[in-house]
Amino acid sequence: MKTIYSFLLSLLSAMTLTYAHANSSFDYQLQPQKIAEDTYVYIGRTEIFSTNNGGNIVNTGFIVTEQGVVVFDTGPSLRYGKQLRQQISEITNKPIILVINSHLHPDHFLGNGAFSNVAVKSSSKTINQLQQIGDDLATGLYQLVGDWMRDTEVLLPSPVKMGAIITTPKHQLSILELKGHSSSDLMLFDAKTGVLFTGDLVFHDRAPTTPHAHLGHWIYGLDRIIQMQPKWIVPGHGKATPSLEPVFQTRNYLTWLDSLLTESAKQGLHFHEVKHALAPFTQMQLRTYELERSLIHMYKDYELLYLN
Amino acid sequence: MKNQRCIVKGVLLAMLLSHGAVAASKIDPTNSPMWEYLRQQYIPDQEYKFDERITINTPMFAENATQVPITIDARSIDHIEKILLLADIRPFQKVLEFEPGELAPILPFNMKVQQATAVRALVRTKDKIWHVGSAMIDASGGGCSAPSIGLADPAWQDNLGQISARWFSQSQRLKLHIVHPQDTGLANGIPAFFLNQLHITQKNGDTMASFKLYEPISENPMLSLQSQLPPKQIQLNFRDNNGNEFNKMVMP
Repeated sequence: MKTIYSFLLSLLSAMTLTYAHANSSFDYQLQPQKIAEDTYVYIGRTEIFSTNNGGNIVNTGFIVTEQGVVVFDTGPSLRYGKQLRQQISEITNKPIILVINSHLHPDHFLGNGAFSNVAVKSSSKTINQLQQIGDDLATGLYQLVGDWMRDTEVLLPSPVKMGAIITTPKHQLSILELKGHSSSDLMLFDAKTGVLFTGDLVFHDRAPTTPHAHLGHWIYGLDRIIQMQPKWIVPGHGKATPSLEPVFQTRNYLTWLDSLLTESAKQGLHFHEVKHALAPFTQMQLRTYELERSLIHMYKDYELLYLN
Repeated sequence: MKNQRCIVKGVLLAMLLSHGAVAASKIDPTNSPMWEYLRQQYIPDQEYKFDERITINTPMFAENATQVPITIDARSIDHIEKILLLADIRPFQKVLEFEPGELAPILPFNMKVQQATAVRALVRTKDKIWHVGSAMIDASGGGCSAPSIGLADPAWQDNLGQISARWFSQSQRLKLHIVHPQDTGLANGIPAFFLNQLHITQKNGDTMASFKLYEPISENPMLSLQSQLPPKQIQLNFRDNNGNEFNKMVMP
């Protein structure tokens, strides 16, 4: 019996080794998707962080304006940031004039190191938060994705100017600050092409994450996005699409989550009784997993509302 | 090829059978290196068996190592005297002791974990046999040596010991929350300061249930206590390791 076990074990470890070897080039295999004039996005997988995906579970992108390139988010690692920059240089020889970090989560800013000689910017709230917990977030990601993170360090952004930033014949870019997914969520809007990079305010066919979320603010923010009537939504996670569908999807999910937590707290239920609730969003990846995380982040606050 | 398949099937069957045998024996189902040590320390020379009727619900992984929701459920075991919750691998192995008394032997609460560990509910029945339920918690660590979050707020002392509670008649339970930093003493320069006792009595003074609490209970503990008979009035008495007492009367 023991020999069989050890045989299976060695088989397993042989498989793991082969697998690790396949990753040894640490190539994220970034594939640009051109969604509008001069506008390119890189769609990550709708998975959780793993040594298999190296943290490429996030969307990034850039717009090539007549004045230069504006980059939205830099990915989970220095390697990702470098590969993204390589992509940009293959598509255009215009200089990069601005790199934006949408918010504090590690998959959106840890590629900053590849852009250390250009202006990397974010909101002052995000900068403050990164000063406090940026290193912890990076450490956490090292533990999850391993060597993909090699040499990745926190490069703090500087404060960005909100509102209109670039106006040229072909592009009219502005930066907007909302909140709800985190306490500061930046978006990039091109009024000429109608493309809106929403950061993690919008998820598409992938359950939203909530470690720093405020559901009320978030839902309000989504209503603002709907009012803007953008032509293209580039969500933080999941496919980009020329419709508002992912915005409504995210809004419906958050509304459902809020009422689930409220009703459960009213009945006095505890975590393990609520975690099996099935989100009626079958198209969303990771919905069981994210519900459990959201309960850990938020349920206690709801429970407290219904105690005396 | 066909032969190979048969061999594989045979191997799988053998593994299944041997697993079944494990469940009924005294071999630790979590295969933790600490079990023998724990057993000798906490229930030396006492009769015990692993018992799958006791369930311990844990999250898929410890998203927040300082607040890991656990539910111990020993309702399929009769004549329970006492439940002892231990965690194999952590600085403090004792999590809590619970004499359910008039309460149902089910307890949801949050605990801290320092790293991935097995957790054990040791349930002693009136015949003095310990029934052991086990589960694993996956964690990347740091829950016990982190300072409490509340201490960062200079006003924490104002709310110390504040108890909120409510009887939920539909689900027949008392949910209660108490403000306390629950410091383990492992964070640099912050001494141990945690609740170590909860006593619950009825209107006539009879004990409903009593708890001994230890360092691993999360900051600002939330407990949910289940009882089939709605009590007329519940008196909660908490005590911490500095001798502070916190009391509250709950009217269902």
